[in-house]
Amino acid sequence: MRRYIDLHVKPNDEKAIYNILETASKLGYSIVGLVADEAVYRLVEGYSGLKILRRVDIDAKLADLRGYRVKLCRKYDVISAICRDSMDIRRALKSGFNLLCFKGLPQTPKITDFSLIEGSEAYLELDVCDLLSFGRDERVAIFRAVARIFRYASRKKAKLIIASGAVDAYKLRAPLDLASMVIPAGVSWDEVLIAAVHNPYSFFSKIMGKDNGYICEGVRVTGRW
Amino acid sequence: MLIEIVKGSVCIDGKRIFSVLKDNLAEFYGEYGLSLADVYLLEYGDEYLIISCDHRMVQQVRSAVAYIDRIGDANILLRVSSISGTLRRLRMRMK
Repeated sequence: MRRYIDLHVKPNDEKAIYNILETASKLGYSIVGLVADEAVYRLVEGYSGLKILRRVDIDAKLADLRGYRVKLCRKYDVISAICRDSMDIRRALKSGFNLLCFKGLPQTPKITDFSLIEGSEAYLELDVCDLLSFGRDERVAIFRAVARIFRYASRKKAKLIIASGAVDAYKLRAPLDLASMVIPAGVSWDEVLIAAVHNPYSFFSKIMGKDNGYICEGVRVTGRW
Repeated sequence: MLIEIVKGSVCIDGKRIFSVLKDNLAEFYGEYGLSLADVYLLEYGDEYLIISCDHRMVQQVRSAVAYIDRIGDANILLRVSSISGTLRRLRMRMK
């Protein structure tokens, strides 16, 4: 059975956390990356049958970026750097981040950044929830930027991840609906599916230290015949 | 295409949701895209809508559904829960 993952959910308040998790479970997700306080994780662990990944977002403009990453890597499953331009991406990659959340739309990273991302085996994440907040006029520029990001990523073989970045339950989308949100930018369905379904799972396997033979806890493929 | 109303702050008429869907299609793909999609509302209830569209435009219609998050002042969350070539199969899946 396919496991759908939404790597980025950042609720506004405590009430929204439960709403989001309940809705995510209804929409078919099995794993959610949640940005919340440490005390909240203990309360919501296993809520609605979801596996919850502890996630923290760090602004890539902070001074001691590597120091923060090292400090937080034991507490959290997912540590991402919030990048707004090319400089941020380079700083985050230098500091060893493997997930870069790009928040600079409608600007796009340079094509050389994608080579760096590919070389460091990092993932570039786009929050699709941001697309809902833009007006009609801005959306044209946003779609153009999204199309360019996908084009550069496929040319340089960099890995993209699409996440919701939802702040409340109404901003969540079902996995395939989430993927379809970049279709108006002219991206092909295959590319979108890789970014929305395949790449989040490969990232999850990577952070959990498991290879492709992983089936579930305690069960893995040891050989084939 | 079976569209499920997962969450809504108030009850919204299916015809209104469908008209917003058509507006979104026209906004993203233009009138030409809207005509190619050939969408029309077949059935609707409190928690679902069944629409018909051209099979070559399914992903585009799905994207237009995904962009509906607000109708008037009310929040709404929709999900494309099933796509099928026949109404009979969609109704079976609804149960």
